[in-house]
Amino acid sequence: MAILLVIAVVCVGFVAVAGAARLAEITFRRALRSGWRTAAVFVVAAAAGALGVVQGVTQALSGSVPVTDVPLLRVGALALYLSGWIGFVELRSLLSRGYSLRMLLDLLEAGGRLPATELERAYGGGVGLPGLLDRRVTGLVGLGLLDRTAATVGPLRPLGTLAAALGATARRWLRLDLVG
Amino acid sequence: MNAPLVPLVALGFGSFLLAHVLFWRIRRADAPRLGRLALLAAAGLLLLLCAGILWLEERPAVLFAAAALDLLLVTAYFFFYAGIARSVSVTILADLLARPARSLPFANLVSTYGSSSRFHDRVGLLQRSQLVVMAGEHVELTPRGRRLALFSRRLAAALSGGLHG
Repeated sequence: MAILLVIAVVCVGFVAVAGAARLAEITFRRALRSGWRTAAVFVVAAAAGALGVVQGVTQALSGSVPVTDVPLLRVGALALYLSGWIGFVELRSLLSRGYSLRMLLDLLEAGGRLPATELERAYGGGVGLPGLLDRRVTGLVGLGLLDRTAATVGPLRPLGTLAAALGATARRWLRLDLVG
Repeated sequence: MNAPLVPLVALGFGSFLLAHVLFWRIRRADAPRLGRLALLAAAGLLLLLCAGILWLEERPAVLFAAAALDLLLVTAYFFFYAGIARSVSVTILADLLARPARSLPFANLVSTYGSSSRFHDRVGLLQRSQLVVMAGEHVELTPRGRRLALFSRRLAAALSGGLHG
């Protein structure tokens, strides 16, 4: 029963905080023009929510479980709450940058049917493959992973080299040769 | 807090990761295989719970904390894996890393990416997931694909401000 109560507190806390952060993002869209500012809002909201969840679990359990169980239930609650945030960020990323989902949407907007060659050109509402790559490169520059001039992509910055090495090594280890 | 959380979580998450790497190395495929990955994660969690109940005879609070920590690590790994298995950005970074100057003209990036079979692999993946069908030279949405596209558009508008791709 105590575990179900903890799960309920985590769910309510997560939905309330994530909803409030998204509402703030919509309301202050103009002020939060950069991705970093938006990320900061979500990080602050997640941290404040974590404190709230721990506090809420402690209050909800007071006197109803052995004292030795309370820290364990708090750890579990915090882990569940953070799992929720990671899942939320992943879902947002998929819904913003999802390559395959965007192809489905392009098909939908074209009436449900396109020649295969046209689908590639129509990608992303008409930006095509160059538009897709340009968006990704702009994102990588924004994250400080690489530099870019008008015609050239790169060179990699130290953080970009690290991320590239990590990604390439993991792909090699998992034998994922033609992905992405 | 004197509970064996670390050994339990190491057993659950470690066995998942080991099985994942071994399986992926033995049976190579470029498809993301997320369903299989989720099954392996569930098996790791089950192992953790079995060890906690049958071997260590731990109380429910310990099992809950260990299972939640395992879930946190699995969720974080899925986040990492999505980048490894699908991210175009990781492909760009890896491509740059393989070049001596760690840079290339944007036009070359477009032609390299365009001449690979990646785009067609995506179409193939959508086809295998029964979201599109090939009708001669045309790609057609299935009713399932249409529903997913409509749902994704609405959800993207609510959560992320639009599906830009």
